[in-house]
Order: sequence, then C-alpha cells, then structure tokens
Amino acid sequence: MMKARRGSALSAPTALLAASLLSGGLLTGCFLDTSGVEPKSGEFNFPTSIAIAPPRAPGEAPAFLYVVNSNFDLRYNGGTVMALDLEALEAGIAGCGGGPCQLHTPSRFLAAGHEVVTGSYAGGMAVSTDGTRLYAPFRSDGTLTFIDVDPVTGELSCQAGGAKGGHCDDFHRRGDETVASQRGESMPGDPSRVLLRPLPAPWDGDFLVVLDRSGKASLFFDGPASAANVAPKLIDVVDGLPANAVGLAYDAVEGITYVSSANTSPTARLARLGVALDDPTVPERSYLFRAGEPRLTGLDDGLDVRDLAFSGNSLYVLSRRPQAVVTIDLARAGLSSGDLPIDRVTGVDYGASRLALATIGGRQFLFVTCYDGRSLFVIDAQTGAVADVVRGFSGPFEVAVDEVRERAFVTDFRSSVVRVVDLAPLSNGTSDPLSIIATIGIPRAPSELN
Amino acid sequence: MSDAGTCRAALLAALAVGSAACSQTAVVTTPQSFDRPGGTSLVCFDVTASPPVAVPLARCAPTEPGSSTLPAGLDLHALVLQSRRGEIAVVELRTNTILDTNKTIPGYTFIEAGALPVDLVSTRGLTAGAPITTYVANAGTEDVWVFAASAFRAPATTARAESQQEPLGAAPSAVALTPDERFLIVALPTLGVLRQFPILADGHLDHASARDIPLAADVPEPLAPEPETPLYHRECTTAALALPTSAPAREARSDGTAPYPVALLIDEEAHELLVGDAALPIVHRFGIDALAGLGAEAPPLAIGTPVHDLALTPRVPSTVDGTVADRRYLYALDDTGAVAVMDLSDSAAFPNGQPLSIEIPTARAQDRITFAAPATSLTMIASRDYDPASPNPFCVGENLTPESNGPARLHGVFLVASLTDGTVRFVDVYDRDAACRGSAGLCSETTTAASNDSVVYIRRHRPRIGVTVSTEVGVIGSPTLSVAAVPYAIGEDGQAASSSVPDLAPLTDCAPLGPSFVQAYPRTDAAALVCAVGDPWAATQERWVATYEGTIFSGAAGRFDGPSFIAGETDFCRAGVLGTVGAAGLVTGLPGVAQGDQLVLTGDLPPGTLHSHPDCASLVATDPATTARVVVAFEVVDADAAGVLTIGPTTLDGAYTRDFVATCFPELVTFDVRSRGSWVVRGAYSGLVRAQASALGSCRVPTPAPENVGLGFRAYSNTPFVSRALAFQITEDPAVPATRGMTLTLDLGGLPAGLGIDLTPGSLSGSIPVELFYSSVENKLYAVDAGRAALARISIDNVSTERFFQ
Repeated sequence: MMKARRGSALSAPTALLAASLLSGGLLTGCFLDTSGVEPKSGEFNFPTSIAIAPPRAPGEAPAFLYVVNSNFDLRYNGGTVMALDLEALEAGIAGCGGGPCQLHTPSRFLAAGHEVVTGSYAGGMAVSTDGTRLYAPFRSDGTLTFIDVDPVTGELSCQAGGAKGGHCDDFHRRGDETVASQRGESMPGDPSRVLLRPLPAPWDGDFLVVLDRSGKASLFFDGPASAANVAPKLIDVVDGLPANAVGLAYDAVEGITYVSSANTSPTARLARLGVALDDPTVPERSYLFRAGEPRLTGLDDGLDVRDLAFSGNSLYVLSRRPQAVVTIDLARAGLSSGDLPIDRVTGVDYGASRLALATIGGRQFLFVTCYDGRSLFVIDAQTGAVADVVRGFSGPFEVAVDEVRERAFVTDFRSSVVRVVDLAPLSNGTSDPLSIIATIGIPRAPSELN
Repeated sequence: MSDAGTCRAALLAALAVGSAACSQTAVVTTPQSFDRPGGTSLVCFDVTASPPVAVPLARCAPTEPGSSTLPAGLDLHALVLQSRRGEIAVVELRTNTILDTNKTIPGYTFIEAGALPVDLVSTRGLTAGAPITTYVANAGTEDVWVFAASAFRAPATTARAESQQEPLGAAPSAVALTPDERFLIVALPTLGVLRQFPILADGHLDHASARDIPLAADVPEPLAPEPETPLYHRECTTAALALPTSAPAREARSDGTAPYPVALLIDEEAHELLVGDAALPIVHRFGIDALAGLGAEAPPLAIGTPVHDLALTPRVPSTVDGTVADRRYLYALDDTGAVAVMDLSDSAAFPNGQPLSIEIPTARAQDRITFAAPATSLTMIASRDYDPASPNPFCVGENLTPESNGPARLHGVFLVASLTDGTVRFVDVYDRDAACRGSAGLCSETTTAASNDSVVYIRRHRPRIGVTVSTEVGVIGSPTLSVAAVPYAIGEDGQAASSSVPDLAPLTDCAPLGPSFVQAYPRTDAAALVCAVGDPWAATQERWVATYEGTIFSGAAGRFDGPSFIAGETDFCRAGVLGTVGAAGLVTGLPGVAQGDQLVLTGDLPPGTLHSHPDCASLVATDPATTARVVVAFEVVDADAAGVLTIGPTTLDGAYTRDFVATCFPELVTFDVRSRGSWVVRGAYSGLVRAQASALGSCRVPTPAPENVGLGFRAYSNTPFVSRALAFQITEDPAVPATRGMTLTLDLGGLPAGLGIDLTPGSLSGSIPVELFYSSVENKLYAVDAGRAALARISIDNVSTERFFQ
C-alpha cells in the first residue's frame, strides 16, 4: 500500500487505488440491485465458529462437524453453515498414509443438503441438547438464525417445508418480532456469542442467551423439543453489561451465566447474568437479570477477557492482559469481598482468543487458540501445566474437540481452512508432540482476495 | 441484511480498508528475544579464554567482602529457559548482554533444548576436574538434556559437543543436584516418583544405575499452629500490638490421592532433600547419603495444603538483639497462593514439623502469610552482611545515617514472593537494621541510631513495611453522618455538625475491644469515638458505611406463595437475614427483643396488572412528602437456608394485606431484605461481617451470643458496635430518631504500604512473574516474568529494579 502524506489530498497512486477498488467491486458484479454472488459450495470463507454434533448414543463417536463461515470479506451474498461428515473425514486422513494431510476439497465431506446459506458475520454457534437444531446469531441481519438438523443424515434445513440446503428464510431468523408480552423488545444487532442450556423440569426445551457487544443480552426459549415447526421465541433483553462483551459461559453449579468483556476499561470485572424462570405456561414472564460483577483483582491487570469456561467449581478465564489462562476456584472466598479467588495463572501466547475444555485419556485439558501467536496451547486443567504448544496455524480462532476420536478441529480464520490436530499423544503415554495432521480446504492468504 | 445491502457494505468496506491502509505509517518492531522465560541457573565463565569456558561458581566471588566486583576475566552468566521455543538463553550479567549464538540468523538464536523445558540446574564445580555441567528437564520430550556448560559460549560455527538426552518416560517438573553433585534428582509427578541418576566423571548421567524412588502417600494430620516465643519483632507504636495466639489445627486438604512432586529443595544443614507435593498436603523428606544418594523417606512435614514451592532460611537469631542464630524456618507456598511457615529449629522434637501461628485471631488465616494477590514462587535472600554475630555496620559509627537503614535496605534474611499481580514482595525474617529503626519518634528511647521513621512495624514472617511511617492506622479526616445525602461531620467530641442526626458516643477504652484495637478517631488525647485494628497486617484500608435499616440482601426473583415469599435456592442464613424468631437470640444490650428484618418489594408491577387490578397502582406510587416510591415492606417472621421467608399478614404500616400485594405481583419480582431498628455496617472490601449460623435450616444466631459482640453487621443505637475490624457507638436522641437511609461513613486508612517491586510498568501484555532467584555473588535478586518475556534484575541494597533483560 502506498502512503498518503498526512493532511494532503489523496495522492495520485491512492486515487488510482480507490478507483481500482471501485471498479473491482463493479467487476465482481456488486451492483446495488443484484442479488450478489452466491457462496461457493464446500468452500471455507473466513470460518469462525465450529462445533461437534452431540453423539447419537453415549460413547459413540460424533457424526458431524459444524462450521460457520462468516463471509468476513463480504465477497458473497451470505455466509454458510456446513455439516461435515466426520467418518468420511477420518477416512480421508487415513488415506494420506500418515503424513500431513492436505484435504483441499471440503465438499468431499459434504453431502447434498449439508450446507445452507445464512447471514454474514456470525456471533458464535450453539447446538441444541438433542442435536436437532443449530443456532447462530448474525450481525448482518441482527437476528438469531436456527437451522434444523437431521441427526442421522446431517442434512440441514432452514426453509419452509423442511427443504434441505439453500438460503435460510425469514421464518428461521428470530429476534426482530415483538413478543407476546408487552415488553416490545427486539434482539440487539451486534451479537458476539451464544450459549444454550437445557431448561429444567417442568420446562421442556432449551434456553439461549445471545450476547451483544453493546453490553446487552437476549434470552430465547426454544421448545418443547418434540414439537415440529416451533421457532425460538425472544423473551427478554437486558442491558447494563460491560461494553464489548465477548465471553460467555454457564456455571452449572450456581445456575448463573458469566460474561466477560474485551474492554480495557479501568475495572477488571466479570458480569453475571441470571435467568428467572416463572410459570412454564406463560414463558413471557421469565426474564434475564444482572447478578453482580465480581472483581478480577490480583492480576496485571485483568482487563480484556476473551473467553470463559467452567468445570465444576473451577472457572477458567482467558485473558489478554496478562496473556494467560487464569484459574479461579469458586469453592473458596476471594481475598476481599467481591473478589474472585485466583488459583493460578498460566501464560499463553499473544492474541489469546478462544478456550475449550475437553477430556482426553481421562484427563481434562484446556485448548487455547492464540491468534497472533499462531499457536494452540494445550494445558492440563488440573495442574495448569502446559502439555504442548501446537504451531503451524495462520490465525487460529475457535476450537472444537472430538473426545472419542481424540481430534481437535481449529478454524484457521486468516487462511480460511480448518486444521485437524491429533490428540492421541495426550492419552497414549508417549512423549510425541501434538501436531497438525490435516488441513481441510485450500489455504488462502487475505492478500490474495480480489 | 439484504443482498443489495451486502454489496453496499462491501464497497464501503473496501474503500475504508484502502484509505486506512494508505494512511498508516510503517511500524518498526524490535525483535523480542525472550519467549515464555522460565527456570534459571547461574554459571561462571572465564572470558579470557577463547572461547570462554565455564569454571567453578566459587571463582565468581567478589574480590573484597561487601563488594560486587568480580575478579578480572570472570563473568557471571544466567541461563534462562525459553519454554515456548525449547531453548536456553544465555545472559552475560556483567555486560548486561543477551548472547545471540548465531548472528547470521535474524533475531536472537539461543541454544536448543528439548520441547517445553521446565527446569534446569548447573553444577558448581565442587569436584576437582569435573566439567561444569547443566541439566535441563523437558516436559514436552520427557527427557533430560545434559550440556557441558562451556558449550553455551561456543561459537555457532564450532560443532557443539553432542549433549546426552536421557529419556524419562514421563514429564518432569523439577531437577536438583545433591550437595556433593554426585547425583541428579528429577521429579516425575505423573509417576509419583523421584528418579535419581548418578553423575559420571564427564558429567553425563549414568543411565544404567538410575533408580526410581517412590514417594509415600501417607498424610499425617498437621499439628495445631503455635506462636513462637520469644517473637522476633520490633514495633514502635502508641499501643502494643497483639501477639499471635494458638490456632486450631488445620484440617488437611488434598488435591488427589497420589503424590505429585513439583518442587525440590536441598536442606544442606540437615542433609535432606525436601519435596513439595502439589496433590498431597505434605513436604516429603529424604536423607542424603554421600555414596547412595537419597535414603529412605523420613516422616513428612504436615503442611495441611498442597505445596507448589519451597524456601528455607539459614539459622537466624530469635530476637532483634540476639547474636546466636538458633532458629530456622521452612516456607511452603500452598495452592491458594498463601505461604505456610514451619519451624524447623528442633526437628527432633517435631518430626512432622511445627506449624507456626503468625497472625492474630482476626486475620484471614493465622498460619499463613497472605498477600494482596496469590503468590507464584518463593526465594530466600540472605544478604552478605547478615552475620548476626558481627556488629551491624549500618547502625553504628559513621554509617549512622537515616538512609543507610531504611525499609528499602535489605540487610539480613528475607523471604521473597512473586505475585500474580506482577509484583515482588518481601517478608521480614531477620532484619539486621531493626534495632536502628524508630529513633525519630516512638522508639527514640531505645536506640541511638538515626532513622526517619517514628512508627515501626517489623515482625518475623510478616510482609515487610516499605515506607517510613509517621502516623498509625486511623480514620482519615472525620466520620460523617448523612441524612438525605447531606453529610455532617462528627467532631472530636462526638457531636455531629447538625442536631438533626445522631452523634457518636465515647468508648471507654479500645484495647479490650479486640486484638490490636487502637484509637482510630480522634487522633488526639480525647476519648476514643472509633476504635479499629491497629495491626497494619491485619487491618484493611477501606470505607465503612453503616446504614440505618440498610439492605442486607438484594434478590432478583422472588414470588409470593401463601404466607411465604420464596426466592429460589437463596441461602438467606448465609446472607445474614434474621426473622423475628431468629432475632430473639440477639443480645443487643437494649431493652426488649431485637426486631427481625423486613422484606421490601423493589420491582415494578407486571405490565398487565394495572389493567386487571387498577388499585394496585398505589403500591408503586410516589410518596409526595419524600418524592420516593412508597415502601411496601413486610415483617420477616422467619428465614431459612432454602430461600423461604415467612412474612407477616400485612405490610409493616398496616396499609395492605399480604394477599392483596400477592395479587398485584403474581410474577417474579425483585426485592430487598433490610434490617429493622438497626444499622447495617458494611465495608467496601470486607462486605458484611456475618456471625449467624443456621440450625435445622432456619436462620438463628449462635447461642449463647456474646453480649454486644457477634452481632455481625448489625449496629444498634445507644449500644457499642464491636466487630473484628472496628468499634463505635451511635447515640440516638429519642427526640431525633434515626430514619431509614441515614448513614455513618468513615474511612479507615493510614496503612503503610508493603515493600515491593512492580514489574508491570512498560509491560504491554501483562506481567506474570514465574520464578525468583537470588545471586549471593552479586547480592542481587532476579525475577523471571513470563508475561513480559523478561528477566528483571533487582537491587536489594535499595530495593528497585535495575534492568530488564528481554
């Protein structure tokens, strides 16, 4: 890029650049009155969210890997959600004969009807408890999109009549309708994360909390699970959370949701959200409420928290200041009233982004993506010791772990691929390092995008 | 977003990206050298040789006592593990240079070690002719790499001597050398063993003769902590501070059932190896034999909690003026970041160690040193001039200056701890200058030395005070009593500046009210109006607010259910709520029975209620007299730990029945529980001090409740309020009764800051200190900061950071 002198009009080279960009946009067919370019089937385009389908039976290997493509560069008229066949993927990896595997065509693992077109800029993804529905909020339309999943075949449907594949219709985008009660609320338009939990008895179904960067959160109910043609319903919207809210996790012990912020504001705190469940026959009476802001003191400096995860009474905080996983023991009191009790601080690499918890070989591990450090840290959750650091990424963002097959799937946002890490050394007693054994998709550097 | 909208956004985004990129200036980055630094080791090099060779560490001794100048041609080097890249960085400490082993490669190139190195140790050259050897334990490759230390200064073009790579079969956590350097000990936590390797003449490990030493899993119960007598301390205060008392034995807590060794420490006096266990609440002990290495495991030290790090003192005197060094201590960093203290002075009498009580009963933990943040590592400083048998050169003669013996001058023995907040803190063990301090004020009769401090707090096993102190703990400014948000100062005679608010009554004497209680206000000879803990280590600097009929608990979701009000699974007893039944157990010193708390609705009416029940509007109306919302409050008859409040049949003012209110609020509603007829006392950091217990699920006070004490956070007018932090008495004139919302505010302060080093300034990504080590040769302290990726050198002669290597 050529530099323009400060305070001057655009220099000739810069004007030429602007003109070429404009003409490039025209050449790509971006007329204001056209429907835009359809996403290419089976192509990753800035993948962000990733999740493993729940197993169909206890102990059974999961069948599908869900990937949300954000369409970050807006080259297409929408992002996509894919359901990749994990068995076929394993067969593909095995066919590489042991060396690093380049699986250039993700469509090999995508059967017909396993991909739908959605909005752009996804703010996370959640899978329903029974695996029959996916949820993803999108910033492009400011709604929560739900996609029905056939747990046997993996086919995705977000159109009327259950048609597989294609574009999600308006019925499958929720959040801008007024609820039956007189609250008159609508879902805020900059979603960053989504969390799903089953509703307790006598309720039937799930509830979702959609976090918004503006410091708001939305509560949806979806269910009963067995009813067809039931859409998630927006119940309540609460504000007053920290701005730039990006981390969301549920404390199953206390029944409270924790929220973190990427803000570097003066106060290092986490926010807590509670769900007040009223009469199941009148779901609109339920609501979200703020339940305090415990302090994250005793760190340098505890601001900019990107992700959270719970395991029993342990809260794992992924912080960028310091660049570390901070383990909090909620079973004991903090040093002062309102402080979170820190157990230990385990340093990670630059750009800590997402945190996942999984059990491999009977031990619980934390998987931490470090976007700027281009690495994946694997940390023993009980001891805080770094078990391994996996390198070879361009821009790792989110990670999902197949505990049965002992694989970690990482969205490599910067190169628009999904990397597969073999986790077997964590359980087989060898000192072999963890490594990337497969790359799905063709790595594309952002500079190549025209 | 529509498809057309997508296109518009794309064009705008493209233009924005283009213009932004064109206006950015190039950023020149300085390549950083360290990358997740960790364990360290010191090696002495003869730099006159080409290439420099490693020589016995003792040769890097100062040429003169008390000097830091090394003999010519000898330089001390620090080896610093770089765990992310699996390398060893070499830092030449005299020239402050990080050595790049290969300048043809951009950036710093260090010595390759195995994957995820976690610890290293170097021989000191005790055996004549034996090469100086460095052993690096790698958790990633699960092995130990053996280096001839001279190889660290060999040029890149020279073929480096092939290092031995000894497989371990499990990830190590720590390494140590026996005092005679005949054996290398490696801790293997996942196996629960120590592996001992004999060291061959060439420094290599004798693989064939290696043996595993299992660690025992027996966990003895720790003894009850006892205070030391005599206690090493020097305090110059207006009133004597309370001494530590005996404490109940700590219930041992494990984090697993199998041993998990993580820390190794050589006790040279006892010829033992001490092993910190991160799973079991003990420190293992092994005798060391010159021929066989580790012997059978001795009875462990019962710490009570898992241990992550260890530090051991040399022998020190038991009193400030003592000249016989007859005491020694073990400090064990536990898994909460606090430090246990074990008296090892007489190991025969206490084979499992004698835990020490080091704090007064109102402290957070009597048997632990606690800091403002959890500690991450420990080390010990024994400065060169600490010999107690020799006269202190800093307290006599021409060295008699205030600057020579201030709190930042560390002459003696001190424990050092790094904390998660990026600071390094110091704990007094033996301060050679203690007798010199305090001449400017309260100890002027006991010392002829000159110092700047008039108030002195020095006590063994307590964080060191880092400033010269001229005033003691007390109220900052004056207390105020507010009504309708208008504050009125309380004068030194206890009278408020307005007759419309209560006053403070004098307290007879502070000392009997609690351990280390001193007069906090006024700071004159007038009668005490506020007493507070004067112990700077036990006190907390915070604002205290007492609110008449203030809020005890705020709930977000409660509902009416017949005679009850149910709030999910809220433990009201733990929250401090008392109903009328439970409050009957309170001993207030006042006539009559104390009132139970009140339930106050704070939520809005449900949207549909006004349509169906328009008369409910009065419940949320505004009181024209106060312009505040009317208060809908019910007596709390009883409360329990399952979230159930039994409430009265009508509101407290009798205006509404419970059934009517329940009809108006059929849904979940937010609420407060407030006290009645009492002041709720809350500290900004301490919160509410609770003293209630639940019996059979219902909230009751302990019986018998001590008179006027143990009420927790409730203060009653015309009777002294005494908590473990402060005491006062609000005097209420019946003609001017207290009203809801009145607040008494006072700020307790004057706490002297602890001595510490802040590693955070200039750190862009946050400091994470992970290791400390003391260089006795240089009399310097080093801190490894993994977050900042740096090695900090700290002067202890006038505590300050000298330099960062990064």
